[in-house]
Amino acid sequence: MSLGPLILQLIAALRCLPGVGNKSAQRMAFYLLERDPEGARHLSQTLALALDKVGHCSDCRMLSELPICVICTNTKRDEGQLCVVESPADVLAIEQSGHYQGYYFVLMGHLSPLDGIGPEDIGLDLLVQRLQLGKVREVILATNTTVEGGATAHYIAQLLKPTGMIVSRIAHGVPVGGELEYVDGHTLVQAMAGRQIL
Amino acid sequence: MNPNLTLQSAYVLHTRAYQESSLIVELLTVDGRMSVVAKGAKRPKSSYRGILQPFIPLTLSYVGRSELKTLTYAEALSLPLLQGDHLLAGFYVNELLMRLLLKESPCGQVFVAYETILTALRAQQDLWVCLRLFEKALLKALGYELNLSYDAHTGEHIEHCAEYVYLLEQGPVRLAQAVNQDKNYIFSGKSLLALAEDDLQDPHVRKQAKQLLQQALQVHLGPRPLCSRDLFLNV
Repeated sequence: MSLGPLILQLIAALRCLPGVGNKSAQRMAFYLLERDPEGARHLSQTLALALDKVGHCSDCRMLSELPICVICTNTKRDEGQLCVVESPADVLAIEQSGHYQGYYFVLMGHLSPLDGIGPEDIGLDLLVQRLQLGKVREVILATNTTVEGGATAHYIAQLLKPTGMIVSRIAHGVPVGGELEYVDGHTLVQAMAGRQIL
Repeated sequence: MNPNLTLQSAYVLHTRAYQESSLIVELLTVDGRMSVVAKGAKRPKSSYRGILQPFIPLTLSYVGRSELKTLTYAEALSLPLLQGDHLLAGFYVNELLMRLLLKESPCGQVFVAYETILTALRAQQDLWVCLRLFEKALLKALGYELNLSYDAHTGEHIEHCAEYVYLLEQGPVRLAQAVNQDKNYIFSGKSLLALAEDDLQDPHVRKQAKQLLQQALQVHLGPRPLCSRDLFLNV
């Protein structure tokens, strides 16, 4: 190989990104070194800074550079509602819809007994602690509509049953603007089961 | 679809992410447990999307001679739903199969037992009865059928009102002949005979059947605990 060890090391380091293989990593490395050294310096500094500063919010487990994240410190939100999601990306998706005004709790995964991921691994002890503060009226389970997401929602619902709290799960069904003809059977079954009286 | 491919029935036991958009899928088929790669299964427009999930009856084909094969076609035959504790029970069943089945060793009987319990779970039948009957059928299919009909030492038939100690790998022995046994290993003749007949209506029989089957499975599972057992809160 005619490249120096440092360049090879950079290419290898870039491959840690999801979806980046050898060829893409090589292209990125050459681009950063040749065309945009300023951008590369900025990237390396920001990355180092973010790695040092970003941790998890102690209330909701969301990624945050503060001990308590921006959403949890916002006192204008409705503290009666707590939405349980699987990942930080889910929080962003719900926030972008702009409708929900309550707080969040991020599991950072779902129950998956075959991978050895149990209740402690998704922070359910922390969730129970948070609910014991007594401010939350309703827990909204917004786990994914996979089999594991369903199992996680059921487990949390069973866990919270003795508290008498309202536990709801987000509806699944036909997307807005979707035509029934093109919706898959599984979704239609769910949509039928979760129909509402008008 | 290539008409030369042979389709076969299968269920997904477990999936894990592979590369950016693919999955490695552990399948239960009549030919045993198989590992296949489903290429592009996580892409938004993949035909596999949503169907490579546990408990959905599939018809599929794969190619390859190595241990990790490549999925070439998969279609869901129906889209049944498991709900609540019955869903968690499904995970328990899958975990048992992942731990006990060898790869690519034909297991037609296990496949039949699996279809039977999934049908029962979908119909929301009594969870504990379903699980015990599956565990019993699984042990039998794996070649470790429980002796529930005669005394392992004397060869006499099990008596309804006698008490027995179950020596794993041998069978039941009348209590008087075995001393210093843990109480958890003592079973009534009534429970053993009822389990032999698949009749688990009596709660006491059900409790003893659970103890016996768990001890029998434990021998093959080894010391590592089953994670899915921890998910049942209201037992």
